[in-house]
Amino acid sequence: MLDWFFALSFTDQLIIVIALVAGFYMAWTIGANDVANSMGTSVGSGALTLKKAVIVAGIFEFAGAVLVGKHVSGTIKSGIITPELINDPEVYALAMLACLIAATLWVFVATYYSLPISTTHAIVGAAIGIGLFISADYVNLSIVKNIALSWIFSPIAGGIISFLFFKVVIATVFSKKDPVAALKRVGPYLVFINVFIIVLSIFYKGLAKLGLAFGAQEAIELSLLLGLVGALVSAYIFSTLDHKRVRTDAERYRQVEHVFGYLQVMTACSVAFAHGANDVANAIGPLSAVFETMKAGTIVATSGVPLSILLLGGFGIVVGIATWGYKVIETVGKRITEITPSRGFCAEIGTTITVLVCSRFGIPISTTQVLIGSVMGVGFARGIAAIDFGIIRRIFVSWMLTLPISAISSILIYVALKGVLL
Amino acid sequence: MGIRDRFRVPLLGTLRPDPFVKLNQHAKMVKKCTESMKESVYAYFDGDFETFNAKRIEVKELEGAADDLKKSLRNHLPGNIHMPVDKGTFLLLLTQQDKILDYEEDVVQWLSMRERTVPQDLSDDFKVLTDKVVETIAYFELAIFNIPDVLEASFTDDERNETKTYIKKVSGAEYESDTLERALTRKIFSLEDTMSPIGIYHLLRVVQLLGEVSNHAENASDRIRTLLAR
Repeated sequence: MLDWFFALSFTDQLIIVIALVAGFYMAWTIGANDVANSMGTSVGSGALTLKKAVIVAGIFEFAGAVLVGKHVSGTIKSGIITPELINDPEVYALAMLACLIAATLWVFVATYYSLPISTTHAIVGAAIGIGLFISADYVNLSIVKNIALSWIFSPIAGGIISFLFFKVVIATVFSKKDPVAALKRVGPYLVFINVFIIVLSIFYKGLAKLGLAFGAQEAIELSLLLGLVGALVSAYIFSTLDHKRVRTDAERYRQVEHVFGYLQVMTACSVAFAHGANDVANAIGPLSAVFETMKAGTIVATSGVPLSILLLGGFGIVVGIATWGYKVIETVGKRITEITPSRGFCAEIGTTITVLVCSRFGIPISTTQVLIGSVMGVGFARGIAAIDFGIIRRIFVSWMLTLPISAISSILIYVALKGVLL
Repeated sequence: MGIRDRFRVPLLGTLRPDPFVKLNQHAKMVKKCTESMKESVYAYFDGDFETFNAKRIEVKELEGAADDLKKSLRNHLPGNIHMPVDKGTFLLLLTQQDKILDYEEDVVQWLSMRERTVPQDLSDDFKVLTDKVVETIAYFELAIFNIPDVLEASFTDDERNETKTYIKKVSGAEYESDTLERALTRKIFSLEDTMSPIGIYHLLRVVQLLGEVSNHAENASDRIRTLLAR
């Protein structure tokens, strides 16, 4: 099974091993750090215990990475730079390895100093840098332009969707005489929308390797069906929730938030799924490029990613959650108490939709920043008591830092690797 | 910064502590301080100066603690914080709410400048006026303590209208308090032949200061009205 590996030269074996270590670390840190985005609020509001949050986060991050992760991975691997043009397998493999190492180092430093950077921006910056260094012709400018635009528009899109969801929640739940009963009626529709989107993202022209790639119509039919199942299940669960009559409005709203807690568990899992789908690429995109090129001894002109690499990425994320992520979830959960389940639900469903759509178009974006945009959307709908807009400036600064730093360091690492290994 | 803080979760920096929580704490201090002021004023007009002074100190300390809270709330609302209400109006509400406490302290401090027994008839009138002032504040409290519900429901008409009913009651009570103030002022002047001018001056100013307390309860509730406007 590994005969091809042992047939390689020592240098090539070394390149693969370094890529595996760096890729695994990247997946680990994606799980360890970013999982708090999806689960922190649910643990903070008490909708999930820490233990349950870790388990469901692991399951959904893994599922997202393995089932939907290949699209963005393809972009990182062979969208930003065009490997066929490089024509030299070792140059391409080293470039991708340098890219992975540079991003990994910068993410490590930024995490240490709690800078609001994104692993996505680090890896994309590194890929652009290395591409320009080898030859500007190799960089696919139209894809780079789309990615750059998506970094600005994805948080805005998340914000608009979340804003609208919150407005709908106000109109259909909070404005009603009996908001608890109203939510139990509206809730299944919300579940339907969420399940529909997730299932569609998995099955529409996906899973070709498992022979489960459906066309548009079949995928939509399946999504409608499973969405309906989800809605019925949730309607049943809501019917089992017994809420006694209360006198004060405050108690009534607490009951509403209790029901929203169940919905927020679903959306937190959805964000974990979407995050796995988009961010696993930052680890396994370059890794699979190195792996496949070395294995074939030539540049493989596909944008696909082997299932084994997807599984490895998903596994790395799960290990990150289990060994470190739980601490981050716990800390963040204790500090985030300002987001109630109703607000968390709206922010998370906006994030899920935005990130999954981008994932399906193979666009690498920052899940964290989409979530922040979504929270601001709820804030604009008068849902959150105090939001610090200074975060926009800090994120902007972190872009301005991340892109040149990861680009230049990937070039330096590439030159060094080339000098040592080739 | 421990090793547990070595992570990047910018969502933490995006969400600020809810300023309404502190506004609510401040309002609870108003509630407490108003009770102490009432007991203090009652004791004064009962001629029980020992209780009066004990309660006066309570009022003074509550006013000081509320002042600190006000300052910390102001310091934690820098320019780029976005709130679901107008931040300027929010701070004006805080100012007016704090003025209630200022005048409550003024009432008891001014009383303490001259500790003399007051004729029974006048004492009863002062207690009636004090009750009315306390009633104004009680309605104001209903309005301010309904704000968390308004926020949770995100400004639905029902919640805003509920708050507005309380605000109208504040205005009603403040109007009645004005009427009582004028009647009491007239009554004090009518006693100019039997009371010392200093005694008259002292009591007139007490009436004015009590009036200021209910005026500021009304001002603060007007700020709530502006706060909740669409």
